[in-house]
Amino acid sequence: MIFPPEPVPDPTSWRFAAATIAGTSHVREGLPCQDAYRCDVVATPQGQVLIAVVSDGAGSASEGARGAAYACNELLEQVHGKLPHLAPPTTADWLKDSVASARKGLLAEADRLGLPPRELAATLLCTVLAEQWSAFAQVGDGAIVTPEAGTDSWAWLFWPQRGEYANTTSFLTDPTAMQMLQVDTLPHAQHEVAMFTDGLQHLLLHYEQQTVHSPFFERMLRPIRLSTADGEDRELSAELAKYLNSSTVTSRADDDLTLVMASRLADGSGVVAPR
Amino acid sequence: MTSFDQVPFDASEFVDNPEPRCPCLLLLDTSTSMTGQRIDELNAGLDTFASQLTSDGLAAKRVEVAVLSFGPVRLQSDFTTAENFTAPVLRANGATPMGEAISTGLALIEQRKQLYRQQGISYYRPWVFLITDGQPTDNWRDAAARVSSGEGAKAFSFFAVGIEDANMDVLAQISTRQPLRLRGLEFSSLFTWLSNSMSSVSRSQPGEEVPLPNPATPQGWAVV
Repeated sequence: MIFPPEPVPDPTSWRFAAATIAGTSHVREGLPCQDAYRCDVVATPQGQVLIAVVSDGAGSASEGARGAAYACNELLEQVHGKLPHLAPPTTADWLKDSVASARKGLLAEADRLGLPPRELAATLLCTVLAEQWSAFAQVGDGAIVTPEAGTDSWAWLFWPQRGEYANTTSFLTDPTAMQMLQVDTLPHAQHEVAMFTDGLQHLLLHYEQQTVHSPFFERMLRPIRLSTADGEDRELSAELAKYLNSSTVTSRADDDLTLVMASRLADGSGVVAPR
Repeated sequence: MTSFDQVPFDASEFVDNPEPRCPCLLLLDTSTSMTGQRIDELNAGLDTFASQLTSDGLAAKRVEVAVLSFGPVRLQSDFTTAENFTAPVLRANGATPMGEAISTGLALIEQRKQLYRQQGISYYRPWVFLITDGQPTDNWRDAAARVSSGEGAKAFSFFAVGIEDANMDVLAQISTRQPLRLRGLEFSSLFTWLSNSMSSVSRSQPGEEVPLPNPATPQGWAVV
């Protein structure tokens, strides 16, 4: 039997799948999902740029869900606005400025609602991947992970910020948020990334060795590498949501769960049809 | 082959990190004045505590209990998860070296935290629960200073409960939280409340403050 040639995904175009689901404990207590994310692929004269932002609204904040959504939208806009004027950055100052502006916006939103800022408390993870450089930012817990070039092992950018205790972390609304902000910029491209909120943390990170559980990401990225979608692969996102809602995951994690995975690689296996 | 499987995402393997721990240290007065009904009710209360914690699957794995009695100071049961905890049977006998008990107990907490950190186990803020029917017979001022600085640094939460004719003034100088007086000998309600509170704490998420039911309501175990 002769197979028709399969379309080979353009290795320079970003594809992603993302999902956020309400934790079983939130459903039980009638709480909304307090996680949020935004992910966007932007065309620039220097090629495609992936912007991904993930936020986890605090359980104790009455408007945690609103804070998380607001933080994601605001930071995405800020980064969006800066991209056209951006030469390949040598420092992460521009990203710090973007986070500072997003934070100001979030505090103004609290003010507008007549609420103390902590009622909109939310964490922040941000990834910006261009063709010549990469930038990352984090306040609070959750993690951004990327594959180490030339290996199948994955590494975290920043270890989740935890206070001493399991139920404490930093939030973008904290007075000390800008001191807690961690940023990093790399002078090269990064072809894949995954980001997740703290609900998945204990399943995907080894706490004792402080390492990433790489086999999980190697397997989860495979369908995205195979995807021929432009930007978000909605089918895969729907599958991902189903997967996060399956008992395999929910029996081990009862908090809200968010996972964003993006790739601009084509997986060799099975993509090119036999001749 | 080329197409996706029915379920493209099937990475069913995860890291198996140990459960976060929620340490609870009981400092229990076993001086001679506790003899009789008091110690009997306290022992019964401890039994209630042990069985209620194990009835909550998650708390059974996360809450760790240690029991230190004083009169004289003795570690009855070192930190162990609720599912492995058996209530010791306490006997009343001796003086009330409360200061020494508190200092020894706080050192135990610090050791426990160090062990968690070494093993990469995350943990919640420890609780120290002091129950007495008398007043210290040793120097308690050092211990009080340790409680106050530990509370300030959020190193633990310290609760003091007085039984019947306990010296509430001294307890108020030791504990930065207002000490509570046990209603009659309602140990059973006290330990039920403690078990429920530890269960709530042990499943709390980042940024979440755990609202505790007020024990000093007419139905509660405490009188202010």
